[in-house]
Amino acid sequence: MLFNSLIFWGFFVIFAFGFWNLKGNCRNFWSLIASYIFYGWWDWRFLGLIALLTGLNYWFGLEIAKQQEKGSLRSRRWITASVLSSLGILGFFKYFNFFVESAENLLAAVGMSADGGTLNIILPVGISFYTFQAMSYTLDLYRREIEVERSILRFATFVAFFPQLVAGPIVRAAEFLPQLRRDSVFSWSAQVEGACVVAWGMVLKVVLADSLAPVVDTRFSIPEAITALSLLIGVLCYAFQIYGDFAGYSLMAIGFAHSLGYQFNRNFDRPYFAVDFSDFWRRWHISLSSWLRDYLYIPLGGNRKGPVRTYINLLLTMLLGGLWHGAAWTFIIWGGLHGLYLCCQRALSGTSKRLPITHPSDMQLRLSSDGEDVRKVRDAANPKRGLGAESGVADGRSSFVARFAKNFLLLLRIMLVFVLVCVAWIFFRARSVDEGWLILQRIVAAEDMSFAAVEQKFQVLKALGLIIAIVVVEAISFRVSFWEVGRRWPVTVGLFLIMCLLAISVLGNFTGNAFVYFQF
Amino acid sequence: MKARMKTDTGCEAGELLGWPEKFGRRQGAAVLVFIIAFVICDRGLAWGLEKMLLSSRFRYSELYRGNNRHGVLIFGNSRGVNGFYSPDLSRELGVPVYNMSYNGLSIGMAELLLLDYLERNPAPKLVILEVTNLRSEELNGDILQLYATCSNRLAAAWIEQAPLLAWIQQYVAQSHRFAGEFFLRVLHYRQISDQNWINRYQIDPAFAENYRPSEAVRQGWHAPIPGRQLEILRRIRDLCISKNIALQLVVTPYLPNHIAHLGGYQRFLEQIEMSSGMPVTDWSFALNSNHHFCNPTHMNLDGFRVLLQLNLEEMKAWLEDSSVGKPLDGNVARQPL
Repeated sequence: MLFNSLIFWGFFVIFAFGFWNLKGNCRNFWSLIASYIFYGWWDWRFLGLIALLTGLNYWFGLEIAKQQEKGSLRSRRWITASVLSSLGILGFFKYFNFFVESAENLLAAVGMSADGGTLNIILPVGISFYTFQAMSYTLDLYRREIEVERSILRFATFVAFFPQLVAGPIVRAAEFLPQLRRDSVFSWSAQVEGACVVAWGMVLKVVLADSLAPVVDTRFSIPEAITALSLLIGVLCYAFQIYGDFAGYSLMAIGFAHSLGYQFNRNFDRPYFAVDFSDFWRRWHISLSSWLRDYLYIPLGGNRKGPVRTYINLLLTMLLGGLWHGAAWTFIIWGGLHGLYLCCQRALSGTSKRLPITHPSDMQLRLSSDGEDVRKVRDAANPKRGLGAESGVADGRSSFVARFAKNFLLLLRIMLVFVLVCVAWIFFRARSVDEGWLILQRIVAAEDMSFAAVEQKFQVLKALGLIIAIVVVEAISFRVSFWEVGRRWPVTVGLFLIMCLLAISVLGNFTGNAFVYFQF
Repeated sequence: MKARMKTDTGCEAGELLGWPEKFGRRQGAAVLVFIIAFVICDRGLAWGLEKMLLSSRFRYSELYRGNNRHGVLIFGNSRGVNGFYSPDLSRELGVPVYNMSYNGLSIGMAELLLLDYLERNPAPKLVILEVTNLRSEELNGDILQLYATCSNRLAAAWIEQAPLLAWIQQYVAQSHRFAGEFFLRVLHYRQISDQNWINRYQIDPAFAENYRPSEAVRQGWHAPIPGRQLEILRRIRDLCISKNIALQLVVTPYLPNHIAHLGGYQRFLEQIEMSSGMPVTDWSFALNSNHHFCNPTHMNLDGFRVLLQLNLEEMKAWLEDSSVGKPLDGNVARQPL
């Protein structure tokens, strides 16, 4: 059941009707049933898996809390058991065959033969997401950052809540469980806000990502027969396809939850405007990068144990982040490249100026409780706004040339980060490491850069037009807040929704493309 | 005080816009106005795009505008697109040649377009059919949905093929008919003819030298042509006979390394000839040089020009000889190559 399918919309209308007519545990029970139907729609056999993971983590949570109340150190054993069981389930379904095959290849490379025997395992949709979500509960509980959840119903709803179940964002227990403990109240304003976020998510998915998909698929399916310019276009399109696809899904999940009165943190924040790689990871798949930071990088020692350990920790975190995406060497190389980028950045520079983090669909935009104008609140917190201002060049005394030079430098940094991110995307998308390397070699060799030889010219032109449009919209959003405009001129919200619907209608591609991140 | 969720980020549902919370009469009216505004915008956009569609010089827009006087019509899939460069053909044959081929155009779609063409335009002297499209069964949804308002035939086929989508495009979002690459082509060819389509680049020599079709491609040719496709071919043949139009079945060249490894290819031709009772002009092996191809299944312009010089007299004969294209007597026995 995909968000961009009619069946889902029918499902959601029925669910929302029931949701608003129920209260307390009945509402949570309704949400749980709906979530299991949503997940079972894809493959009912894996409902047992999600129930098992829920039951295990619920039980471990109770035991950890019990030991902590007693002041016993045994809670350490329980958290170890919890992490091992969650990772064991994830490892079996996702990585078993990969490790067996890799071990066989390694032995073959040193002249030994071994038949480990792979299994015919189906990868359950979204297993990485809900495993990490469940793990965050026991880990936070162990660190005494949250209270134990004694209601199995609430905990099961937290693990399986359908909007973000199969492709994130990874919602932390500290963020979501307190919301499930209270009944949200129907709000007209929240419905409109949710609709705006869902509509923009649909534009990113159906218009941007799905229009780029055929261009990308052609180029990555037969790279040996594609010219350098065409491959370059393919890589550029993939960078925006995966962004539109994943950010679109996340926005839709956030928007659906928002309309139900639940608040999820944003998952993407204009990542291709990042000025360095740590900035990129503050803007890309924020729920995963913050999860890895809090539960892996910092526990490993972060940057507190000297420069060498910091580099090792960075590399290890990113390598495991790559492996999280899939059981293949291409993902490990992708993670390794990002780890390398972060290490190089750390070695070469200190702090760097970053663009402000606000977004048209930013669900965390603070409003003061007494209704004070949001612009005043934000401007008070951040008097210098915009590209130049963030670089410290908004001062009226600076000459035009100096402002231009600094903005130009900022643009160069954004482009450099984007190019290197794209290099990593090549391996992320390629079917094998060799194929990724071949694509990279052909692009660098730049042997045929004629546009005449580019395949699917019309689709390419449409793709490039859409990419430019999205970049322009996101650049404008650094200056103009959608929500501020909507507050002042409510009619603009209606216009925005109509424009989104017309864009989806005229430019959308409804060929049933599943979301890329389902496979992770 | 109302119990509302508040995360540690300080955000609450409904506070971003700060609008009234309750759904009252004003909000109901706002929803109604929104729906009406959307319907007006959608219909207005669809009307404007329809105007552009019918004023375009794109091949099917020309067809549905009518009153074209073409001597030769060509139907086929992408191999038909790249197999016949109509500006050169028109010059050499001395009659207007119009290529109606399109990527993935099936024989069923060719039949619908030919029927519509003959209703709106004078009959051509000759119809050339690139028959490798007999292997694709599905009608082209892009063409059906875009020109459904121009032809009851296409509208009926579209409703049969995608009833839900057709309903949405009729009652919910009429502008959705214009989604897709197809309409972009229509826009591009608003002022210029689209008859210059043909690939002009060459296949990578090293790739062509080592190329072998995949197992799936090779096996695909062993599959028998569905009877429904052959039935459509016979209907086209009968239609051409009834309108006194010569019909020519052709297979355009393949890359030598491609055609040499297609095991079921001869059987494919035999099925067509046996079923239609017409010979197939087989040019699949006609070009030996890799330079004449842009990929394993498509010629480039250089290749077409060589092919034209090799077969110009034969093609002229197709126009002059009234017996050409008529069914042969008895069964056809194809000689193995």
